[in-house]
Formats: sequence, C-alpha cells, structure tokens
Amino acid sequence: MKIRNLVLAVALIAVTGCGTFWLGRDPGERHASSVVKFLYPNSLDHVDKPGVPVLTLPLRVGVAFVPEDTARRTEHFSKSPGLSEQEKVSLLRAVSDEFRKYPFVKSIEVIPSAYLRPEGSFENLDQLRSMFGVDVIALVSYDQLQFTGTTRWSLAYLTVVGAYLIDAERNDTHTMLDAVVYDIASRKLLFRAPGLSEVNGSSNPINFEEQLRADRVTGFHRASSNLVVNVDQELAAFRQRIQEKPEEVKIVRSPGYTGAGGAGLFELLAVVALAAVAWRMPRS
Amino acid sequence: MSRLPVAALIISMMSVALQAFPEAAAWCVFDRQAVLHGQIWRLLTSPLVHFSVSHLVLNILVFLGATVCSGLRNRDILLVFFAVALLSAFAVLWLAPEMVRFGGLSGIATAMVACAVWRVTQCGGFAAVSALGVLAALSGKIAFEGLTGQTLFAELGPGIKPAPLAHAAGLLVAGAFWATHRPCAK
Repeated sequence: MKIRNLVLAVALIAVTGCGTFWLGRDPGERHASSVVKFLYPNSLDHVDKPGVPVLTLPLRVGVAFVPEDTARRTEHFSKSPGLSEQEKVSLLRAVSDEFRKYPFVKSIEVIPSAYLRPEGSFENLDQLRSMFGVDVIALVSYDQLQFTGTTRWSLAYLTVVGAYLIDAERNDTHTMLDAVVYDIASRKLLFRAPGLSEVNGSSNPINFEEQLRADRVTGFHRASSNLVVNVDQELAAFRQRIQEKPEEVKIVRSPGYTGAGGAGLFELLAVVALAAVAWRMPRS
Repeated sequence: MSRLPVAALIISMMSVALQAFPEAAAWCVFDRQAVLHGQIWRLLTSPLVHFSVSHLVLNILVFLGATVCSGLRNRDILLVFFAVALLSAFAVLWLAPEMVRFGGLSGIATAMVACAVWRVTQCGGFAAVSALGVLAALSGKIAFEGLTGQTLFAELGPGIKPAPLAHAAGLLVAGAFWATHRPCAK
C-alpha cells in the first residue's frame, strides 16, 4: 500500500512538474528599440526638414545604442533589457573599430546608454554633441524576437530524467541590428546599415532560460558581425555618393593649415651662381 | 659640369605626373590623419606633390639645377631624397601638429643646394667664400620663415604656409651626407 502511494505521489509530482515546464512560458519574447521613437517621440507624423550637412574633416564620431522602448509593454515584449551595458559597449566597440580605420575619422566615442534618454529626440543628441564633442552619431537600434516551442521528444519529460537529458525545446532567435548615422547639426540621415542573424538552438527544460540568454547574446554578436560588414559597404557607397552629388553634403576641412616646402627666387639665383662656379670646376 | 642626373629627372617627372593627376596626388600628399591611420607611404611621396603649377616649376628648376651642380651620383640623389623626405615628414608630424597637409620638393632642393655649396667650397678662394655666403643666406632665409611664418621671395598660393622644417631637414641631411660620403672630394 505504502509503495503504491509512493509511486502515485512520484507520478503526480512528475506530471505536475512537466506542467510547470510549459505554464507561464511565452511562445515568443521580444526586445526592441526604435530610432524613430527615440528621435520623433511625440508625433510619428512629424518630419524635420533637414539642411545640407556640413561635414568637417576629420570627423568626430559618436556611437550609441538607442534606449530600449520601455513604453511598449505588450504581451510579447520582455520586461528585462535585451543587452547588458557591458554587452552593448562590447558591440559598439566592434562597430567603432570599423569607423576608426578610416583616415577621415579623427576620433570615435562609445557613448554609454546612461547618456541617452528614452524619447530624447534631437535635443538629447545636441547635448551629446556638446558633451562628447561629436559631429556625427551612429545610433544603433535592435529588434530581437525569440520563438520557443517543443518537439515530439518532449514526451520524454514524463520520465523526469528525460527533462534533464533530452533537448526537446526548440529556440529560434531572430536579431536585427540597425545603425543609422546622423549629422547632428543638420539632423540629416547620412546612411544606414543593417545587421541580421538567426540562431536556431535547442535545450531541455532545466537549462531553458540559460540557453535562451545564451542564444540572445549569440544573436546579437552575429548580427553585429554582419552589421560591421554592412557598415563598411554603406560607408563606401556614401563616399561614392558624395563624390557624385557634392551638393548633398558639404565637406570642409578642420582648422589646421597646409604647409609647403617652396623654393623661390632666392634659391633660383643661388643655383645660377653656384652653377656658374661649378661649370669651371674639374670633373671628378 | 656633371653627368646626367637620371634619378633627379625621374623624381621631377613623377612630380609633374602627380600635378597632372590630382586624384593620384591626393593619395601621395602628406595628410596627417591618413598617415596616423597607417598610410605611411605618404611620408616618402609627399615631396612629389605640389599645390600649384608655379610651386612645381620653381621647385623643379631649383632641384634640377642644384642636383647638377652638386655632382651627386644617382644612388646618392636617391639616398638624399629618401632621407630628407622621411626626416621632414617626421619633423612635420611631431613638431608642427597644426600642419594637416604638406607637400613640395623644396626640402630636397635645399639639400641639393647645400650639397652644391659644399662642392663649390672645394675650389677654395673667392668661390668658396661666395658659396658659404650663399649657404649662410639660405640658412637665414629658413630662420626667417620659421620665425615669421612668411615666405621670402616666394609665393606658395592662398592658404598655404611655408614649411621651414622641410628646408631645415634638407640642410641637416646635406650636412650629414657630406660628412659621411664626400663623393666629390678632390
């Protein structure tokens, strides 16, 4: 009798335990930030009339993540941040290295998230401009969606041990990073570049959350690698465009001067005088 | 007079070619940011770039004339060229941080004038005294440009300042060259 009760109790725990694996779990989770929401928070219809950007070479560039859109609290939006500050800085450094290699970039500042307000708009960018001394800013936004589901192997969870050993949870992570480069003074978008990635993973119910976090970070890293490649291409296209249409962007050089070694009349007369003497010298 | 300075002619022709192709000149001129970003070939190519036709013509006339007078061999001409180019570029890089672009053959031309002076001094007598006078005047001119930032008997064009560091580098290299080589000693 006691043995039968014990078996029933274990079975009950196992079944309810399995239930807890699925209860309260969203089929998808989303982390997103929006450049449009950041720059134009009050009215989505509002459009600034951009002026002609004047780029002073060499450029001083800032790179920052757009604050996550905390206002969007619909059922699939995660309440936890998509990336830690450390991960953001790491990704921004990878992007900034891409800019740094160009000779027309004088300096590049990785701007921490704390300096950007949600819905901060161009006023926030103006503050960054004066605080960090940047002329151009690359704003990086992201949209990451994680889908989760179970495969037929999840039946093994009924054995309890299977929940530890069988990876029957399917996790798909789709990530898009988007870098838009703005001239702060003229409020004109210079160019943009996307970075995409897809991570297909699996896990068991025990390490499910841990695996999701790992996939999330992997997704961001792969997307940033793709972003770096695309930034390089878009930057080359932008340079080509301003050469073909110089009226779209005005390029000026920063203070500093051009120096030239210039020989003049004095040196010319000296050479003539020396030549007259050298003419009479014996060949050696 | 001396043998045909083929190396000097090639250097002059390269300068003329770069003047004819500004796109190529843009890749050769000393550009501070570009050099700091690894385009180190500009340290050697910057003397070949000129900012106006008059700048080019005067520099080439002085350079060719002085090279012929100096009697240097082609190998020595190239040695002086590379030494002055590097020394003047590094001097501009470290000692003139506000100078963002730099070009011109006059540093090498100055070195050649100094070499010619030293060669003439070997004659002795009035010629040597006159040649040393020329050298003293040349040094004075460089000092004047360094102190005032103005050119003397030369016009570089709007917005372009003289680079006396390049001329001083030319004098230094010429002095070092003659101290160690003395190719035309009697």
